Amino acid sequence: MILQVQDVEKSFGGIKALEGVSLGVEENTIVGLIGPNGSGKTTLINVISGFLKVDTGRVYFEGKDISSLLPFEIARLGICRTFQLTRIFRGLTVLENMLISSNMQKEGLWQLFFNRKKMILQEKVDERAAYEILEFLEINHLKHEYAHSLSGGQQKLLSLGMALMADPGIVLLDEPVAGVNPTLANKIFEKVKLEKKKRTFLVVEHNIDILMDFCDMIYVMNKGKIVASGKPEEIQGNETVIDVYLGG
Amino acid sequence: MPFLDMQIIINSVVTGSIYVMIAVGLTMIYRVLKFANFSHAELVTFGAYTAYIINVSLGLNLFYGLVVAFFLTGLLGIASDRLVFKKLRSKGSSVISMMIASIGIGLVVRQSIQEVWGPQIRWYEFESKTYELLGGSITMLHIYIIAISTAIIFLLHFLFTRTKLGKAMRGVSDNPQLAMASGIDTEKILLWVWFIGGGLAGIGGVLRGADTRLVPLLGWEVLLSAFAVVILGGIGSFYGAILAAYLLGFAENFGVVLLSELSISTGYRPAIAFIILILVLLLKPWGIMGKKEEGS
Repeated sequence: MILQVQDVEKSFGGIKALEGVSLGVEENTIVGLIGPNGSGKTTLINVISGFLKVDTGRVYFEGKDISSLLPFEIARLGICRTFQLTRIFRGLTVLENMLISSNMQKEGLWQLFFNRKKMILQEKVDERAAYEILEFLEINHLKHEYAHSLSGGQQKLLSLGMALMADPGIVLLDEPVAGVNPTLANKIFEKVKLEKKKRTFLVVEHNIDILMDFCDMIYVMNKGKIVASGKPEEIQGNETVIDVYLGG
Repeated sequence: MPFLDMQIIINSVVTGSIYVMIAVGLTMIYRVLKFANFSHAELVTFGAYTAYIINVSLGLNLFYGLVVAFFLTGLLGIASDRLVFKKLRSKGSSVISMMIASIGIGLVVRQSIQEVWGPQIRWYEFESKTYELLGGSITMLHIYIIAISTAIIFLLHFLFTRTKLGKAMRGVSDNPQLAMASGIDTEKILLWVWFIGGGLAGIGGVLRGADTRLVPLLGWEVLLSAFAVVILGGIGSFYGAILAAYLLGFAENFGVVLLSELSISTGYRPAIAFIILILVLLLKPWGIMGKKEEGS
């Protein structure tokens, strides 16, 4: 298990957003997280990535308790995320967006003056990595464009690229294909599948069909709880899941 | 135009050079924290008086004063953030609260400076020869002011475009949450923003003090012009602020000549910045190089 969530509770002023949520994610898999609006999926992503603190419970990444760490510390450990509404640095170029996402650790003004040579070398390495990912995502031709000039789909691809840039152990994708046309949506998931041999993915998605095609394991949430879990074919026929979605 | 001569151009560049130093810090802090920091004025004054200690009290070259002013004013910037703004941030205070708090900080610093040095006018001690330049005259001090300011602009350009720290700063101001998700320690970056922005204000204070004189209201006097520069350039735009600083420098120096030609008191000089500010807000509120606000 690369990621383990144990009995996590999170309330917002009396409303329980997460109620005793536990789940485990195996290495080199794609795990889907589905559920109706307001079921707590994004809250869970926010808790794992440190944007929200748990009330009780624990989150373990590679065996380490990360429940009390800050978002940037969690990112540096190797958990990268994307956001539901695509977030990119709009005022930076595509390449700059990529490079900012590579490891920011141990970066200070000292390097600027004293470790310049090493830094330039590192920059070259990072740049090559960025080109590779951009090529992989087929947006290499946009590298010098400002991110705000990209189309919605291209922005989605860029945010995925940014998440891959730090070579994370696990990537949390919050609705990676929302508002994206079916062809591109499939392409994005094809890319994710290709990346599976290198890392793990936890994906929140409304498009259940696409998850069924690409996931190894699916968790179903409703009203802050995990109500079902299993392989896609097990989930498909699951009564509880059908109830949840039909509002039963 | 008979009164558009070399002297106006020289004076404009000098004024602009000083405004750049002050406005860049103001715009950097605005861009990252989204509030107008009124205590920036007192960072300017603080820098000027710090250099006074080095230059007059200790009798050292004003250049040392400039360097010390940069570091100490930068640290004062950090202190104001750690002691006040960071606390307000963590409580989720509105930008209005931050702005009011900054007025308060400014008041405390200004009164403290007045308490220590008194309200009387003071001057730095340095010599400055005057040279002829294409029909105008330029002093050694003015050459230094222009050179220092230009050098810093190039350094900043290098910082923002070539270094990870600079890119991280742009990232944090662009989207703080995404910056965190990208592994950027936003609070650490904020410290650098305050240090550099504050330090530059300090340098601006020394340059202004050397060009005019030292009074506890030194920073307050240029704050309006600095705001005009920031808004004219497009709030948060570094390159816009540079361009706007020289434009306002020109408008003020040209305006003064125009005022006297029209037999109006040159005491209205500060009104020029005001008029420009109002015109920009009415006609092009996002400034010459700023971006129109977009829904996020």
